[in-house]
Amino acid sequence: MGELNFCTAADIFKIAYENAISQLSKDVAFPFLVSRFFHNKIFSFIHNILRCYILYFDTKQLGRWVPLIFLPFIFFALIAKGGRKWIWSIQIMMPIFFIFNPLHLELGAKLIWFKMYYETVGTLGIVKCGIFFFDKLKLRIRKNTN
Amino acid sequence: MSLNKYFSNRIILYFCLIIILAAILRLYNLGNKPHDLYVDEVDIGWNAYSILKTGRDEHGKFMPIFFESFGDFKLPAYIYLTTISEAVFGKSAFAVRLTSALAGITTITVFILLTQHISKSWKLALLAGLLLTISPWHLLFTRAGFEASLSRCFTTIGLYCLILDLDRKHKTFFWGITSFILALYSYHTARITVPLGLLFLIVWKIKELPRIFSRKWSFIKIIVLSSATVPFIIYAFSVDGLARAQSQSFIRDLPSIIKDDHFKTNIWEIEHLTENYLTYFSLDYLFFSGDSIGRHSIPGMGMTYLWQLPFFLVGMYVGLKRKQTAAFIYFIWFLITPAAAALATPNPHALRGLTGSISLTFFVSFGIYISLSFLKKIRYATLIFCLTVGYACTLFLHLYFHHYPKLTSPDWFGGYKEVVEYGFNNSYKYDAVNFTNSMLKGYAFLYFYNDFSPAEVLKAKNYQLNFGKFTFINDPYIKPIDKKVLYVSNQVEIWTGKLLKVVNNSGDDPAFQIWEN
Repeated sequence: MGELNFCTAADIFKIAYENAISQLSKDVAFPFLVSRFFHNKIFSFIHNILRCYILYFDTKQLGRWVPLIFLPFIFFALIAKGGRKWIWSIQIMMPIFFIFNPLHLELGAKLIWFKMYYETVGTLGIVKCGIFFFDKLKLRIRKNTN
Repeated sequence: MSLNKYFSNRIILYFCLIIILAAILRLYNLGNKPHDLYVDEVDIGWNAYSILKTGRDEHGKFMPIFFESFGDFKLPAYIYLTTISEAVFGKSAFAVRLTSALAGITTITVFILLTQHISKSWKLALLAGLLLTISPWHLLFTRAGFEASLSRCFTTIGLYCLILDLDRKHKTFFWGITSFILALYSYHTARITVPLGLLFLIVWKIKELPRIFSRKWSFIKIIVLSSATVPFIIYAFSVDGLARAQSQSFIRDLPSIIKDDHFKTNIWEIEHLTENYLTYFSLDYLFFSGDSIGRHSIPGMGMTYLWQLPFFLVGMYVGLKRKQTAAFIYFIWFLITPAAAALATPNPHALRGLTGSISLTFFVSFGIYISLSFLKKIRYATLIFCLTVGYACTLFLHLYFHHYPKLTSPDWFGGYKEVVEYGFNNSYKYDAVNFTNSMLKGYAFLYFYNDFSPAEVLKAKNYQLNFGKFTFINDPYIKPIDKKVLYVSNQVEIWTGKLLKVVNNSGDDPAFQIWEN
């Protein structure tokens, strides 16, 4: 969906409409209402909107575009305590930026933004990881001195 | 009637209803829907029939452990089990697929028992069983002769038996190992996933092992079971076994520019292995788009229903947060499943990752189970939920029985059955019946769908190209003048004879042309 799976609002409308029409044309053996029940634009839109949104979190996309080293840290940044609410809020909003594309970014620019975003989250994860282990170390030293 | 007895009667009733539903969904019109047999199924069917009638496979080997097929080797479990169904139901598409369908029904039964045992909840187990029964991913692969469904069945039984013994319920440890060994002989991916799963169980319950191994006859059982794996290990490391691994390996895709650079090659391999592995957890693949191979998913939907997505996320999050044993076991299973599949290409591959459907279904059912109390509080939520599920199931059945056979007919070798039957039934009118060699393994279709004796076929020297009146020839074929010939050509060849018929596949696209001179 979309070029290299970087879909936009235009893709959603185009694909949803095409899907509904192409499937309807294959249902000639069924009464029109039955056919409409199964292949309608409402379902097609819901399906494609969700798909387009989910594609920006997809492990397939992350594996393809984000450097391998960042992946565990991105995961850590999302689950570890400390600013988790903020990260999740941005994470949930992030696909909307790409879907509506207010800056009219070309594919290459989108790719750079996408990589930059996840690399920033990954870097945050590295910082969080460092703080986590530093805290643990501090606790252990304190225990030993006591 | 006491409350306990009433409750247990209800459980048995629901349990039986789920199994009946599973049987109906898997056995209804099994031979024809979604499509006629595809090449691997025909190959299995013909080899099984040959074993049944002569004790030899299509290449004349007596009771082989590994079956040669397309220059590759097939594992034996599915073929030998198909001989039983062919002995009962004859050489038919139904008999070939029955093994897979029964394996699917057994998997559902064992999955319910396993989930009940590790989660201690019948409600959750029955819900999980029901969801697996209607799961598109599961249904798709258990209604066709895929060896992977048998392998998954043995893996599930093995896991259940091992956990039962490790939890001190029944002495079933060695039955579990036997089942795991049978899984190894059923499908190729098991050679990596089964040892990994076993390793996890051993590490997890290592304290229980001395108790199990100190039992009477344990030593003998270990020796017998270990020796049962020897042919498999020899095969896996043999030239043929490694050839299979190499032919499917993702390393085939290695760009030629970096082939000579050792460092770059290693980096490329690690990156691609990780990328392949991650594709199996892709929400797009699981809930929206499915596998890219036509046979492996319903066009227009993912491997499972879209409505399950929120419940899957909730189920996994809550299950792991609460550190539930069931969630832990299924999560590890979910992580292990793509280990073998990621080494091959293409990715994601729904058949190689089939075992993942079990873990996925568990997390969805757990998500629904814990959301139920929340859903009940919201007005009409249960009604909306039931309507959504009902709509999704009906849509799936519509797509599966109506659209899927048409859209994926070339993947199912649409038209092959019709032309080999036509050629055989009309052969008495001609001196020779020739088929184009562009039919992939056409001889297996010819022998399987028509009345040929395996003993007679085995006697023929070059039965893959020629038997009696029937010949597979390279096209373009020059019209003979001295004999009357029926010629089955591909859909584009223009022969100089008289066109009798154009055979279309289920999607109404021309697949073959039938000519006579």
